[in-house]
Amino acid sequence: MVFWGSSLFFKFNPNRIYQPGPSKFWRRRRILRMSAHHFGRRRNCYRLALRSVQKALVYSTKARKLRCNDLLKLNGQRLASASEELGTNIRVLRMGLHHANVCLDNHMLADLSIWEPRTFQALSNFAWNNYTSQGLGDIHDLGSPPEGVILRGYKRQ
Amino acid sequence: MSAIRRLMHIVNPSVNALLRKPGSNLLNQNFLSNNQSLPSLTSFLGLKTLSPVSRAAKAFPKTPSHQSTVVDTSVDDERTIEEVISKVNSQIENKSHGRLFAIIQLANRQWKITPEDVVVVEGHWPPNVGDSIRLEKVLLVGSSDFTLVGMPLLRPDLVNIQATVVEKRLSHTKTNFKKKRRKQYQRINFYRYQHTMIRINSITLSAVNEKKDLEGVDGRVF
Repeated sequence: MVFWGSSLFFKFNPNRIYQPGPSKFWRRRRILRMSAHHFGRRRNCYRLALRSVQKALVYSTKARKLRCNDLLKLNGQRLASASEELGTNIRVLRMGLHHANVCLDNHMLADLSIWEPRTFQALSNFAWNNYTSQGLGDIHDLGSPPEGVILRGYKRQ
Repeated sequence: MSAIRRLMHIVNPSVNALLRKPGSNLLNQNFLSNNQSLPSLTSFLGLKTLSPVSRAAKAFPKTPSHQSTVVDTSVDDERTIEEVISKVNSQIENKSHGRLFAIIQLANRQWKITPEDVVVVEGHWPPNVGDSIRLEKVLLVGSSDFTLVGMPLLRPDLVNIQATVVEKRLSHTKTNFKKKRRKQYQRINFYRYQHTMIRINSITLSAVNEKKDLEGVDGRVF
């Protein structure tokens, strides 16, 4: 003999009035599963859980775009500091490579500066020399470019 | 009062520019004109200069006031270039270069890869599982001793990167949820997109030849 509680009886009663969508129990359960790792009463109390879950979903939706922007800025900062460590700046590096049609992006250059420092130094020295030979801008503050780079017939484009 | 403020606005930037611009550093100029050793001081009136390394570098050679002879170093340069290329070629021939890495352009992104890597391409991408493909947009190939940089791409007869499509499936479900408070506006949407895993099998180099006029264009369809 099984005594069903009133709520369960209502849930499985075939004669109950038709209501579209999941029952109250499953609607709440869907939210409470998402709030299972939240803190305090926001975990178990439905009204509080609903608010915090909705806010969390809004944050995660917005953060997908923001994360991309943050990474773009981070790579720019890394590249700027890496080039300043070698005595140039990011403008000279980017323009020197641009005028030689080297299409490496900021992300890859920042990666190279961290994991392949000799390659990055070679690129930086080349860009500095190339920039100087183009006669671009005022780089008197930087000093003369490092020696040992041979620019074979690069012309202004 | 507003006049004074305007005056300050005019005066202040010029003063700041005078103090902060490393080229107009009086101390530094004196040192350079006397051909003495470069200053180790990196601050002037308590203001730090931008880059301590660049200050230690030699001053930019300004145009000399008198006529001077320019030494033609093109013959020496050619010899140096041939020497370097022959060294690189000998390493490639003996396969004494270590593990190579490369930077490729794939699906509108650049990747730094090395053999045995798995690259995950996000979004719609036609190749199917089991396809072996050749990655042709190679921007850079490097080893422990040398680096080859494409302008913008390396020639396809110079470098050969082989890869295999290993797996193709959907990402985890992402929830796009929008809500405006007190406006009865709420939208929820779920989506998954394609993930294609490709395994980099090999990066092989052939000998570096003489530079052609236009690089990386032959045999390509644009």
